[in-house]
Amino acid sequence: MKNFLSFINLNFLLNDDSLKNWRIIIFVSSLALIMIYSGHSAENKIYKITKLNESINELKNEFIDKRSQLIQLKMESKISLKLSHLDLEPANKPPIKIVYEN
Amino acid sequence: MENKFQKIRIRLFIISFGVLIFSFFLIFKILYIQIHEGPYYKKLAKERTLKNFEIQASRGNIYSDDNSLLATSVTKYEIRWDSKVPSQKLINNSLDKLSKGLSEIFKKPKSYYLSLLKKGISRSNRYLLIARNISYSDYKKVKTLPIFNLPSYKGGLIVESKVVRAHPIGKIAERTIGYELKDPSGNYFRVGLEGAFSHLLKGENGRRLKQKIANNQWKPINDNNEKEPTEGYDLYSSININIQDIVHHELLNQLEKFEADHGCAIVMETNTGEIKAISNLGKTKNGKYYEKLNYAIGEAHEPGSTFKTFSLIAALEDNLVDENDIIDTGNGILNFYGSKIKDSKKGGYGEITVSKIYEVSSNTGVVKIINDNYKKNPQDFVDRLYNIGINKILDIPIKGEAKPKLPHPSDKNWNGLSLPWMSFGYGVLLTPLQILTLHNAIANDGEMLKPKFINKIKGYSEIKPTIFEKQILNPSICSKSTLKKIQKMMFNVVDKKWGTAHNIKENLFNISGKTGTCQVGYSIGDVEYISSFVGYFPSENPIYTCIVVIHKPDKNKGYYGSKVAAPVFKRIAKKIYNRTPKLKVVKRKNFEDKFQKKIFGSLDVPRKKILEKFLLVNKDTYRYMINSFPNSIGSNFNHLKHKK
Repeated sequence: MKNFLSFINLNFLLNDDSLKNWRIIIFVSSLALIMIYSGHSAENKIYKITKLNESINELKNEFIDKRSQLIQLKMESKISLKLSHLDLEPANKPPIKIVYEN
Repeated sequence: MENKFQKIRIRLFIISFGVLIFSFFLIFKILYIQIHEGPYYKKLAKERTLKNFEIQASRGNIYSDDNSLLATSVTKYEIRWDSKVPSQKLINNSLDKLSKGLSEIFKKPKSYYLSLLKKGISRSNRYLLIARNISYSDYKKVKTLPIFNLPSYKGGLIVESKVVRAHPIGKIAERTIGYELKDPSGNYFRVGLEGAFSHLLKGENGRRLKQKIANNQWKPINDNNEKEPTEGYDLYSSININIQDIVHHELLNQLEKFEADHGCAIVMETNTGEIKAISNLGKTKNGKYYEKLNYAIGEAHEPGSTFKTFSLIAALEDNLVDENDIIDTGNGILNFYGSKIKDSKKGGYGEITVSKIYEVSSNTGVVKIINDNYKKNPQDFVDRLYNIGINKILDIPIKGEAKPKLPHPSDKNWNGLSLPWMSFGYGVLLTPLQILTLHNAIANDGEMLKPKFINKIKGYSEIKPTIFEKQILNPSICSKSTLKKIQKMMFNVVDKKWGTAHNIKENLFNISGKTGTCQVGYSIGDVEYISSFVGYFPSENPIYTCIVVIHKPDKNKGYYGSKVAAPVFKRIAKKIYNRTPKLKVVKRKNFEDKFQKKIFGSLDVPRKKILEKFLLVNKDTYRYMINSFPNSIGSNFNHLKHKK
């Protein structure tokens, strides 16, 4: 009963030899703080990952979108179609590549 | 006073007793839940917050020979709407703006969306389909529209995503790149490369335990059961986008011109057997063409005259005839048990050499050579063909290859007509790819190569790819001397003025090949034709072998292989040839001189015109050329100078 009363009265924090108790309390509570912080930061990382995944998805889709447009534009049939108003058509002979020699 | 105090004490006692009983009850209940019902609740909690996630392995890509994407996975979205969620006020305010926004994104009239949304509201549809299969960029735009930009419990937007395969080059080579479908009963339907290499492309799904955290997100936690996904392998196919484009459009033009039922064209690299392009087009009910079936692989047909190549190889190999022997083809009609074999030229070719028989594609000539020499022993002839490997399936990875058929004297239905008809390609069934492979062996100095669709396979994390080497089916289909003779004949088909394909002779390079015109439906009296041309170019040092097969062209417009299929071959060959630049090595000090005289001076009039037009658009180049080569350009482009 006496011990209980002294616990209620917080004697272990106020006594002369309470310093060592304080030490352990601060240690434990700082551990708890670190734990909470790391938990939160882990969760934040997950939100970040989700966001980054979304942007990967977006960029990949955009890349494929543009890539397919480019491939289509590069095809000979498209080029001849686009240049037909200039009366340009595919050459009758292969092009000549000039190699320069000193 | 004493009495009053007593009264309070009793009351206090009763209350504290009640509180005590109550607290006992609480403690009991706590212990009961904790100990007795504990396991049940613990399990429930775990189930609600822990989940074993399957991590989807991403499917590998298919690339062309220059590493352009042919097939890849993208996410597509389906937009639906719960019309009961938004408030009446919100709907009154924003429905108009929403339909306007939707009409701008999906290029449909605004009224369409307005009535769609209103109908949804009046029927209190909680799962109204707005758009399906939309890209990520469109999905993002949809998310910014009024109503839809609100959280789903206020705006009612429902989004479902799925991963689908995209083909950046569009409809071209669709059938060869292929796809994989799963029907509701779980059976796979596999087409083309995508289907054939599905086991490599798909990879292996991973597994990971995750715990629920806020915002409906899940965080991974460690677990023994964890497994990393293995990403699918990437396929590097041999398809060349540019050649594919040329082949597709040339075939399409000709099919449209001749209103043919369907057709296919394949380009193979002679020395490696790599398939550079493969195009299959079939006609739809409204007269348009699209990649309907892989005819090149799946459709065996009677080859007709292109088969004469192998009849002659057999006869030459057995030293029964020589290329310069004279054969009397008579009046061009042969009779076998009442069935007639006719030449396309009325009155026949009379006495001609063996090689000319091939070059003019005389049916009677070939039948005479084969039937006269082998009729006692047809087995010898058929064995020759079997030795070449004509009867064998190519066993390519793409599913659905049709089996070749080559009659054999031991067959039940072998009769007196079998040998003569077989000699010019009837009663025989071969797919275009098989005919191409056989003729490629001639171009490739007798070495028969298996058609190759895949150059290499590479895993996501692997550094070294698995490379596929060329695969030899038959190291030598015939002797060198026979080969020389056949090559010469195939060259003459195009080169000599009597050759059946002289109309496609090309000045810049030589083409060798063989035309084929084959009747179909002769047994039911409704005669249609299959025109084909198979050949290689340049004749002296072949780079590509190509086949064009066109089924059932409009008979009134033409049906001969030389008229329908050969021109497609020529245009394909020419365009491919023109893609490779010719090298001219020039010494620096006489560069100007050479440019003036040899290069610019050698241009023909249309090319000069084109150059002029090009220079009009590209003024800087023009100025540079004026300054660098005043004599040559100046004289030709004076009129341009004045314009400026």
